Amino acid sequence: MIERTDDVFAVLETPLSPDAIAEAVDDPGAGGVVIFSGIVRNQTDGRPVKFLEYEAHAPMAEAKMREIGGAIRARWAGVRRVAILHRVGRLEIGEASVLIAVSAAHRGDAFEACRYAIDTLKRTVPVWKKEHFEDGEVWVGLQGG
Amino acid sequence: MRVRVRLFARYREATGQERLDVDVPEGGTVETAWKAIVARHPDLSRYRPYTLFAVGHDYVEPDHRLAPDDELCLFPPVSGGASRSGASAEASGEMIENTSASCRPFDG
Repeated sequence: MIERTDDVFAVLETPLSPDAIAEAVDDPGAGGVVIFSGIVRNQTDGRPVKFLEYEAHAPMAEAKMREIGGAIRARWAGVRRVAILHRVGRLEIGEASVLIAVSAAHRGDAFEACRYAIDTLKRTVPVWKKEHFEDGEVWVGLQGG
Repeated sequence: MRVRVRLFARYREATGQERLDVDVPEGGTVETAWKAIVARHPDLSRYRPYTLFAVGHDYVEPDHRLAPDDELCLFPPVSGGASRSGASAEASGEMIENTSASCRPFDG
């Protein structure tokens, strides 16, 4: 699923693997890897969530993820590899919807770049989720966070 | 000229369509295309203030000039800007039946 020859940016319909994304950013020059995992929460403002559906404009989403990767490499010289994966389709409580991994020579760059990646993703990447409750459903963007 | 339109999320559900084609005059803009879309799906008109547009892999403004066979995408808000966040809450409130939920930050 994941190539190790370059940075990885993908929208997938299959479960996301933290082990696989860690491997994707493996680099002999890295002294640290930071992984962010966004998971499906069991409630929204106290309202129980049954499950979520994610939808994306996949090619544009991958292009926007690639832009994030480029911005990271321009800003943090110590970053070695970047991987961003977003899942679409039906996700159950506790499943990962997004995984971001950054390896860097030193931990500071890895933490900062990973934080930048998830914050930017939520503003720019065309992905939406539909929250399914017991008594209704609602489309929401990835805003805020 | 013909412009291809793709509808996502609530726009797809509101129209029951993922794709449609509209004819706009040469030199037409995103706004021109929007008017052609709304002529066919009047229900969409109330979402205009909250709609994001994209052509190719980039967001575009309503005055963006379209080219033949461009693919124009209609998105609900993605961005977390304060004004947009408030706008999207209103949009959702209108769109949703049987629920009082509205847009909110996704901090998963």
